[in-house]
Amino acid sequence: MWSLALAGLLPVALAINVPQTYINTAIARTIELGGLTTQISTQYNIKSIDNSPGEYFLALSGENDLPPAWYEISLGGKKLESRLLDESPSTVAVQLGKTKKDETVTLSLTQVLAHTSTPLPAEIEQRDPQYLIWKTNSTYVDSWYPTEVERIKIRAPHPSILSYSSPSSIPQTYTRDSTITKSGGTLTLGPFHSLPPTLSSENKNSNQKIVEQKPFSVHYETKDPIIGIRNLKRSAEVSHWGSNFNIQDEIELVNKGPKLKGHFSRLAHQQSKFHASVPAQILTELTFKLPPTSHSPYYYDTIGNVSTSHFRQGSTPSTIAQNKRKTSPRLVDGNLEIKPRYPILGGWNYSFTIGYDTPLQDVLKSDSDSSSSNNNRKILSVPFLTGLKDVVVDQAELNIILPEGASDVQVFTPFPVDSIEHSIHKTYLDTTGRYAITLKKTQLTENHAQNVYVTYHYPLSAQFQKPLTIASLVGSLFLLGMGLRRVNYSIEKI
Amino acid sequence: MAPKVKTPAATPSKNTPLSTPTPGKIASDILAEQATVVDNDPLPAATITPRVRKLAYPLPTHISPTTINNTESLLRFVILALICGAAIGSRLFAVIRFESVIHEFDPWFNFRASKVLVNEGFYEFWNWFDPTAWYPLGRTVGTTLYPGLMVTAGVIWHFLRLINMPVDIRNVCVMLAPGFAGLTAWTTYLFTTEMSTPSAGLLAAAFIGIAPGYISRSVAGSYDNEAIAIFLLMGAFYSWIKAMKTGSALWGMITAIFYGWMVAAWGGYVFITNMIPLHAFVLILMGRFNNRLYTAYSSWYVIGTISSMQVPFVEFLPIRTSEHMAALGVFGLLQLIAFVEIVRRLVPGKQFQLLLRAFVVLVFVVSFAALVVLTFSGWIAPFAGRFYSLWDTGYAKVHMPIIASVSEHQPTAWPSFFFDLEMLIFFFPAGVFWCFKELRDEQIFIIIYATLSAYFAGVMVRLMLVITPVVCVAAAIAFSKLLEAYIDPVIPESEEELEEATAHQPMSKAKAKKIAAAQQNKPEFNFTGILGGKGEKGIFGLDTRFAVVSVLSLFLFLFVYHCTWVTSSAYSSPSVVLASRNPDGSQNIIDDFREAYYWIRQNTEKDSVIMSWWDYGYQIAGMADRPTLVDNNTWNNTHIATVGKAMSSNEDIAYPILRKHDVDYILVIFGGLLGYSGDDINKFLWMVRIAQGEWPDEVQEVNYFTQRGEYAVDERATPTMKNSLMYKMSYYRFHELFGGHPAQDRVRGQTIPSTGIQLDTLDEAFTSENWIVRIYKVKKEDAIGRDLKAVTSFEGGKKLKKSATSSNNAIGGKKSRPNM
Repeated sequence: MWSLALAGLLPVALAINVPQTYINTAIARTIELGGLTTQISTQYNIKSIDNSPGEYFLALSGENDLPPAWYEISLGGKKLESRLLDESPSTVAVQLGKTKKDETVTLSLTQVLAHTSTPLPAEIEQRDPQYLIWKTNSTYVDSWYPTEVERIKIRAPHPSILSYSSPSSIPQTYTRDSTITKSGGTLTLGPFHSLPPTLSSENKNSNQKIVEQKPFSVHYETKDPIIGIRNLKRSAEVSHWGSNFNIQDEIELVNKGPKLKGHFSRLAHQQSKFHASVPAQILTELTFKLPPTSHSPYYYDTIGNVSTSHFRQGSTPSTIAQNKRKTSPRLVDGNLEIKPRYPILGGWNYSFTIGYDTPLQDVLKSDSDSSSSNNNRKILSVPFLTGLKDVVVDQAELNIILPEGASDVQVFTPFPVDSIEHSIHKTYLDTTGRYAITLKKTQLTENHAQNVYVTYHYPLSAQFQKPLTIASLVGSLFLLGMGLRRVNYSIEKI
Repeated sequence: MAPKVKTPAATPSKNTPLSTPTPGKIASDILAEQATVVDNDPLPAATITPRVRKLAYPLPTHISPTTINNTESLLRFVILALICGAAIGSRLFAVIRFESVIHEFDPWFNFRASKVLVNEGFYEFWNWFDPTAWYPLGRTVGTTLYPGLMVTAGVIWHFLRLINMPVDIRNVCVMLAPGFAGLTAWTTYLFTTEMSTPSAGLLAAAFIGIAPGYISRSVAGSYDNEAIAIFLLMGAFYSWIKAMKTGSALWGMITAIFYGWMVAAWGGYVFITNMIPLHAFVLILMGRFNNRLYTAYSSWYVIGTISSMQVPFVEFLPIRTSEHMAALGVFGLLQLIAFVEIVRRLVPGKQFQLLLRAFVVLVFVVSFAALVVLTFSGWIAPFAGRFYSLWDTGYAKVHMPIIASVSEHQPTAWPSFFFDLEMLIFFFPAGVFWCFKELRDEQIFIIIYATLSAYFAGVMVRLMLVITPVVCVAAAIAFSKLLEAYIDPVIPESEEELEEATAHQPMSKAKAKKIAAAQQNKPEFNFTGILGGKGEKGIFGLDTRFAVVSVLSLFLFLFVYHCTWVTSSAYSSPSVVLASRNPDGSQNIIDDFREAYYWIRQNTEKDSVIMSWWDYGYQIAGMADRPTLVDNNTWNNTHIATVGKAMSSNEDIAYPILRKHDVDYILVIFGGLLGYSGDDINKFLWMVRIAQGEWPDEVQEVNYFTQRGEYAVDERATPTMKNSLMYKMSYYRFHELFGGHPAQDRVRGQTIPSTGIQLDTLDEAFTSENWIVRIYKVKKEDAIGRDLKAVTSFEGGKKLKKSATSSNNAIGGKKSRPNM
């Protein structure tokens, strides 16, 4: 099967040519199991075996695995730029700087995988605990290079792990004592010694020895509702006149946990609430962290306002100084705690809209140091999404609406997005319309809650476009009225 | 909360210029009166003040009449604008307290139709067949509704879009009623000005702006036909008066346009259809026929009828139903009279008399015979049932239980007149009396309108709406007459002085007449007895004036206070959202309806059929977006009776009905936990009655009462009651909530027996937070062909631990968590 898969990918696989110029002296991987996302952090100790080894090829996933939703590579604590190769399995080429032979560097990779855990059993009753099964095709850390020693830790969120793949499924070739050790909610695989690469750059005919990957699974319990967002539509609107920046999210939320078997019983729910033991899979409340200066939040859905929400305003040192409150001057995020109309049980949907305002000066900077002709250049930072822990957004759309008259627009995204579209958006009393940018991306996690930067040119004349238009329109209406008053409509001759 | 506080403060302020004697205004009043005097009298105004009149309080003398006129018109405009603002503002309680939400039941359908109109276009809306209503029959919506409201909202929406104001259609719909209430105030001003003076017009506008009788149907969110209908009614009446006075075909056409719009908007258009002909007819009877009336009526009738026939729901009704025959008859009569007038001009007297009589008799006999023949042959439909229920209040209960079951179709209780109109109801007869005193053509209109609507308002609560405008107009006339009389600073001269003046002045008679006219309050009004002891008319002294004016101002303030209070406490509840108070006084929103509807919308199959009592049909369609069996349209009595039968029968009878109608979910409203009295158990008897109307053998109302004739839900409840689907669904597992204590139904104040209710054919699918909405899923037939009852007992016996049926719990079997 392995060869078959490889054969299928042959034209692609041929394209990657990884020179064997490095060797991993040690790999330590920690896998944090969660609900929809799985956090993987891996430490690579890399030794070059050449004087000018070139780029290091870092495999992000195995041959049959989906690429991670998010990843970050850092070298000695510093974030590293990398080049994603257009290949499968997804691999990045990393510049390790000037390394000499036998020099060792430590590279760390943080990945977030989406949708790697699925509920098992897939249907449970209202008060049952929920279990997830996490599956991977790569027990060993995927690597293009041989590894001297490797250890993998899998941490479940809760000590109750029902089962995991039996040690016998992993060949004992590379281990000295036990293959898998379980202590509490943590499983330790390995250490494995002298592992050959798991991926091979040559075609299958070559004699290079590779280690065969084995699947691995963990069946574990979670105590948090498993929330997925099917669709997120964020629109960010800039108003220079109102000095306001509005963010509005349309969210299609779904409980991705095990589906509800039978029906929902309010009585049972109220009883468990009374005993403070609401089953884990029921989502009753959700908290959004908003920027510290955000204000006037709203929360509604298709059929109107939802009154069960609570907003705690954040604070910044400046607002604290203004209000003369005697609290420690630090940055506190605003908290929007929303309660859905009904408790969301496994498999239930709930779509809603939330939004809030922020003072414009917090997100908009004028580019003052450039030449005089360009001093109206504005830089706007727009958060791509409001991060929710352990939540995966399947489809996200960010719609940035700049004020009317903005021109010379440039967009800088913190991570690659699927598409960027430019259009014209017409709203309240616009004449020429506003510049709108639409960004789309699939599979976002909490780590994608980063800012998109937009720069645009906004002259003073554009600010006066709307008031002048409206004033002239109203003025002409009055003039018309004056004129019409002086016309005699009578059909009789006078 | 700001506008709420603002409203009562703003409302008196618009009355202030009228009620408190500010010098400028008074002066203008005086001058206005003088101006009217001049109109009636050929003498120039300057000649009437050669002699200084006695004034109760000084007036500024150096202000030129132009200034006064301009100030007056500016003031009038500002006051009218403020009145419009107050009319809109006082309707916003619900928006401020809750949110911009569509209220109650019917508005949800109108809102849904408006969404279809704006999203899918006019023709889609016109031809709209709604397969989700009245499942499985469907409803041809386009031809069974009055589209005026939706089209109005749609036009406004499109206009706003055109000027790049993308307002949500929901907000257009919510704000439509307050907006049109502002316009109503304006048309009422115009209408009353035609009847009386502009100051009476302003008062009438202020009254209609805040009168609870009208607010009850036009608060923000009450997106119903009545929201725009009253504006159209007043618009039609105003332009009719205008047309009749001027004899202008243009105004006749404007009347027709208002009428056509009204026909498109509200079934109550029949009121205009009969009101205008009646007015014309009375004028003819009084011998006041003239060419202006002829032009006005003919242009209105022809254009109005043609435009009304454009509405698919009306179509040929104007020439085929009895309700519309009066208008046609008067139209014919007018033609006859006009013809006779022409003939009289041409034919000499004696022959004319004979000719006339023969002709009139002949025409009358022929047309009446034609009418009778047409009625009996079915060409002209006799009066509809709803029409009869206007004459016989017991008619509906016997023949149309569905109509009788609606609370707003009940006869009006006495207090509600005061509740809805406050002091206006007392000033109303006085105003009508003033109309009798002057009895110009347009005032006859008020008299007829007052008489008719007073009767209708007594018959049906809903028709309080129709009487409100005329009450406001008549009361405003009476009020302004009183105020004018008592603010007028002129002190009448005593008889001796008058005689002296007569001796001095040669043109004394004209003078005396003029003075009398200037003191317009009681010009030809002769008191008898003590009041009439002295021959002088008018008001002496400042104290009388002050006393009366201050009492009247107090009335006005109280009126504003009352209106605000009524609006805020009685008419501003959306009924979709309920509000209660927490122990600490803060507001607690009870949002169970939307919770359940939204759950249905999000978590059931798109084509799941929901069965509920018809009250909730529109809401389910609007908010949950699912097919319903019956809704508030109530066009198919049998279908409603079917639902009533299913609800009132036991499971064995109900289940086949449910399955035959593909019912997936049943929704019941249960207020027992919270004390929400508008729940289904309280409406249950109507379900039984309506079902009994169709199946008198199977459902009998008697069986739902105890031996002593009580409607009980506790231990005393009859077996029929206890086994009915409605009872079971309402109280299913209710007693468990009380954990062994007696289960108290807070609406009926009765204790629910703690013997468990077992449902064989239904599963509880969802219950809202306060148990107001309970949704049950209808089980499918058993896969291996067993009886569902057998299945339940089988499962109950075998898996006692897992079963969640209440009977097991009642026994005391400890429920164990199913272990994985």
